[in-house]
Amino acid sequence: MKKNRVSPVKMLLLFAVILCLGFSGVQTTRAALSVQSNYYRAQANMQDTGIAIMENGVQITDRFNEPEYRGRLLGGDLMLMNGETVADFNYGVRYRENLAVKNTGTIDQFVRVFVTRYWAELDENGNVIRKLPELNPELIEVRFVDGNWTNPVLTPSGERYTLYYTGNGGILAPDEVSPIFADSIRVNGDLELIVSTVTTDVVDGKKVTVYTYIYDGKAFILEVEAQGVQTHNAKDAVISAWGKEASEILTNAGVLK
Amino acid sequence: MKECKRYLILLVCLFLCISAAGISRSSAYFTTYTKAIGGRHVVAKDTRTVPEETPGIDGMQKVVAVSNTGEVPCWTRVKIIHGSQLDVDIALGEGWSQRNGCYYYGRILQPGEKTADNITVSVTADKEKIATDFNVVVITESIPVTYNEDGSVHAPTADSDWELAASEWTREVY
Repeated sequence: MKKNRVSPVKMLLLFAVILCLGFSGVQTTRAALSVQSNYYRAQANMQDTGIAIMENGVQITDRFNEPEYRGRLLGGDLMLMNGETVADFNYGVRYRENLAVKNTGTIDQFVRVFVTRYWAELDENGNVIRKLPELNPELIEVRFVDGNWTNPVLTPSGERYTLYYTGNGGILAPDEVSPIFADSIRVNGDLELIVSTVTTDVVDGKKVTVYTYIYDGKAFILEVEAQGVQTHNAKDAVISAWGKEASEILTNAGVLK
Repeated sequence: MKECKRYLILLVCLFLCISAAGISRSSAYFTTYTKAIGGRHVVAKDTRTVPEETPGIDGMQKVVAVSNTGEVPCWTRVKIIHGSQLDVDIALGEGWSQRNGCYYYGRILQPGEKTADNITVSVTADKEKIATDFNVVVITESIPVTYNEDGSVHAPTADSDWELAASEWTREVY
């Protein structure tokens, strides 16, 4: 029986046809892709929250650029209430300390601030070495301003005040600077408050009475922390970020419904 | 059947993971904070003043001045005490004034500074006529300069301002 063999030439031709068909198919598909549709563009805006502290009209912190988000309060010359600048600090004198908050983010925010005052020892660069809780923080008087903030609530230690922004429905819009919450600072200089001990000695036949001032060489410290939270889904956001007490304060103030 | 169970467990795990991720997202809110800190050193030192008297009582006259030997500016006042058997005349130089038995210097005394004018104490009775020795006690008192809220200097006018005055006194017997 004679075998029905396909010649090698025919085989080669068949293979070439298959290849041609294959390539033509690919080409068609590519052509179809190139005309299939137009481009569709979608854009998503990323929202930022940011907050800064203003001291006497100058922004002293930046949420995004400042290392550790810390600014320097009471730096440079001090200013009397009449606008005159003075280099030295003295007891009893009231210095201008207009404190406000700026919304540096892109969304509305509720805002609250903590104002903390205490005595400390500083190193030569002005950094706190050690807090001195035995010295009276109440001698450091921050004068708060009524109207656009809740009444400051003081902790039992007498160190920290908490205030919530209530002006404009409690909402601080992007780039908006709040009304000031404090206008000045003063350290009470009544001698009976700052004298600690009295000693009387006889020196070279002279009777000498000397007082010791325990606040001498110490530093008074002012800390301000501002916090912001979104106004969207307000109540849940405030409870989640600041707790139930904050939510109640803002509800009582008419900020949260 | 065993293979089917494995797939079922895998599916449940996947579902739980997706659910957990969903819970986390729904409780995250936009928050932010910032902080500023600063302070100032305060200087609150005791004051030191010393009476500078002429030694003895030449010509039955004694001249008293006050020096600020402390480190801070101060106000000063002087008390002069003597026996009732003496007739004493006290003359005040410029800047001094008398009130309630004290002699007040009306200018701030800077550290290292001495009162520009003096107090002159003159004993008018002859020493020979005085039967016993007598003494004159000079007391200086000082308080630090304090300031009002507007930055102006607080001038001590009330006696209460001097309740915490540092003092130094000498007693010389003649």
